[in-house]
Amino acid sequence: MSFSIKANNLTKEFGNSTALDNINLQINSGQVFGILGPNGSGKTTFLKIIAGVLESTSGNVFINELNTNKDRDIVKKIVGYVPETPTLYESLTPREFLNFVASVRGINENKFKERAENFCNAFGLKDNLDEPIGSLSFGTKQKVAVIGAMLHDPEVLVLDEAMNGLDPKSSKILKTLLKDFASRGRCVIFSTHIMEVAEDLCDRLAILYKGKIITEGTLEDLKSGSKEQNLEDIFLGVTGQNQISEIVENLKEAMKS
Amino acid sequence: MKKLDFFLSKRLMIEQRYQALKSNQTFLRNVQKSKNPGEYVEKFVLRSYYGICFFFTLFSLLISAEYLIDGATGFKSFTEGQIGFVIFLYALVVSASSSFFFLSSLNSERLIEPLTIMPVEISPFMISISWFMFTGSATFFIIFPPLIISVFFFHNFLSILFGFLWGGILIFTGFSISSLIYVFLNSRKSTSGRKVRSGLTNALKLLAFIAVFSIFDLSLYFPQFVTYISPNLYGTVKYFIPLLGLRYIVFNTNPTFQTILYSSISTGIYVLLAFFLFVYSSSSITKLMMEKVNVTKSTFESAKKTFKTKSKRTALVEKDIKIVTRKMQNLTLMLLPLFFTLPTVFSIYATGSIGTLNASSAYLGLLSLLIISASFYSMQLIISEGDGLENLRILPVTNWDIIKSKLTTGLIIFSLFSIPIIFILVGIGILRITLDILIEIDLAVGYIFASIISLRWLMKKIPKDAMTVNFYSFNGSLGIIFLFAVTAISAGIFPIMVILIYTFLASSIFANSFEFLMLIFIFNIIALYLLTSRYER
Ligand SMILES: Nc1ncnc2c1ncn2[C@@H]1O[C@H](COP(=O)(O)OP(=O)(O)OP(=O)(O)O)[C@@H](O)[C@H]1O
Ligand SMILES: [Mg+2]
Repeated sequence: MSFSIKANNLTKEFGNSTALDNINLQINSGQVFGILGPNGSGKTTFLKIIAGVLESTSGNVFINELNTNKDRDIVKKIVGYVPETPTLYESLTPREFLNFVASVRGINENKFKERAENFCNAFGLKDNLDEPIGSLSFGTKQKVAVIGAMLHDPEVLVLDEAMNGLDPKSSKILKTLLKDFASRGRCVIFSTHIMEVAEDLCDRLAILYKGKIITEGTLEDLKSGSKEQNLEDIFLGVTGQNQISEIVENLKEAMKS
Repeated sequence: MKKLDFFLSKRLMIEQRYQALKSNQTFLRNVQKSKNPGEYVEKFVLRSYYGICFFFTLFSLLISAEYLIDGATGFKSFTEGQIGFVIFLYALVVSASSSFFFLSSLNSERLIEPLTIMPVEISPFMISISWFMFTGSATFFIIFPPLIISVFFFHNFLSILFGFLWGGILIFTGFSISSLIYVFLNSRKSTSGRKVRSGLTNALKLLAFIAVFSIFDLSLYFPQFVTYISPNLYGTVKYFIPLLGLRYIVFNTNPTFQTILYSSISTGIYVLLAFFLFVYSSSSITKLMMEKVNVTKSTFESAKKTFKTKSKRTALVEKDIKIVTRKMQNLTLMLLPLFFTLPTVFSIYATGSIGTLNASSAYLGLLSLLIISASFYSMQLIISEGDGLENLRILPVTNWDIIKSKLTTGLIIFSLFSIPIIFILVGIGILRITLDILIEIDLAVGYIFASIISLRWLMKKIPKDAMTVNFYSFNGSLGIIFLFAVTAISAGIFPIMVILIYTFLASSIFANSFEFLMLIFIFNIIALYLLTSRYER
């Protein structure tokens, strides 16, 4: 089944400040969609709205017919979301946390067992399964959050800088998993600051800047629309952040005095 | 006190409130609108401080006025110092419990963490001063009204001085007690043989805690105990018994040189004691917080090491229970309602002679435990989510799901406490077993009704965008008091209705306990049905 995610005139305000400014975007199933942007550009906010975690101020996101503001409870069932920083219940163990997530999501027990075993093996989580989450390392917590979001085999997987803190092996596995996910006709949306990950993984990309989408398309589209040839330079170019050598010179001066 | 320490204390106090406020849209908008956001936040905090001071004054005035309205006998008991006892005890209890919340939220919001990497000497008083700036100093407003009333009637201006000093002694001691309990509960054990031993030490700690509180309860709460003991105090001893001595020191109706001398000596000694205790506890709590921020205790065995699913509701309740029982601090808070109400419950039984005591009065006695538990557990169970709230936002869990699970968890804990009490009553022959069951059902239904009301209010208070929740999300102490009032009304309304009906029909409520309890049950069930039918569709 193919479906699409559409943002229509999506705006989100926090108080008087605008985090997302009239965003229009379509993301189709079968894609890995990357969202790039400097700090504070609105990536997290956008992802949270897609996942039904935050409500928009105006405009909507539709997953097929579902409105992420109004049909939150259904949206949350078909979406998996990995937050920017894992805030798991610290006094539970990863196993208990996964049991909790699976139960709340009503996943079939046998399916859950099989998936949980597989994921935990793949990410090397076996040894930490019965320690309290509070005592785990950052990357290990991140793995728990990632597994928790994938347990129900969601239609849409939303990851906010999920590669953060993962070791090379785990991030390689995650990348492969995400590609596989998309190839099964699902949709993966993720944000990252790591250009290689974006280049490597994304079918399409959007660059957010101050709450607006300033460019969107496949990597080739972006390249042909710019004189730069790698994503990092394109990114710095379109977000007007390419006067780096000048900044560095000034910094050096400042440090000396 | 260096300027930096003062600055840090203030920062800490404001930051704590800010964490709870930041997702509130109106607050956010006003912050952004103001020319100086930092100043706005400070002003906002100051305003809520005035609110709390005002409320405490009002509350204490109401309690004091109650004695005066009572006419000659009331006036007599005012002068005999019961008011002093009640109000000062109240200040101590408020101070101790709000301090405990203050410390827990410092820890759960990780507010000390940034300070641990700063290359400055942190004053041992940083945390306690931060406490005093808001929580501690506001509590003083509880003791002012009776002092002023007392001066107005008896023209002894020393009342103000001694009252103020004793208020300080008790309020600071409240903080000291809470910090020491906090340090005691969280201090690190040796890591060897952790699993087996820690369960045991936890149990021992909890027992020690219960023992201390029971002594506190027993000696201070029984009203008869006070009236029995205080007139019997003789000579100079009476000046030196904390709380009970206040009648002679603070509410002294005819001061002489001798009484003033004794009062001064006693006050001096206790000020010194309280001061040393405060210094000691301030430095211990600062040391603990600076050393190990946000430790999660690994004090449990997870029994079944398999992947397993349960129903959504069971999973939510199980998670709530785990969060509460695995963190000492949460567990301790769960016991507080018991300590605050048991004495009242039992004093009702103790004052009534066995003859007049029956199922109706037993039920009414337990109602106070119900009210405190329903409001307190509702709040504590939501607060214990902390930043785990984000998990609930991510998962397909509705507010109604959350309410149902917190309600069930609270009911389980409440039953753990209330059922044994009822069994004791049956055991000593006060209740018949049929009525016993009816009381239990009535209490359960009443608990469900009252806590749905309070949980709904609490959930509404959390801003939609918030991913974390703490004590100050509900306006701190003020929130507790409001919540308490709401719960009291929703739990008390049906018993009161039934009593009114009986009064109208001019028959005694004590005549037929079965009828009385059945009527309350019916009213409660109808209300519960009306309340929940909107959700359960
Ligand atoms: N809870 C909030 N309250 C107020 N403002 C917020 C809140 N969350 C985000 N913002 C604002 O919205 C804007 C977008 O924030 P967002 O977190 O979406 O950025 P981001 O692109 O994810 O940044 P980063 O790369 O640092 O993760 C920022 O200006 C931020 O200050
Ligand atoms: Mg972000």
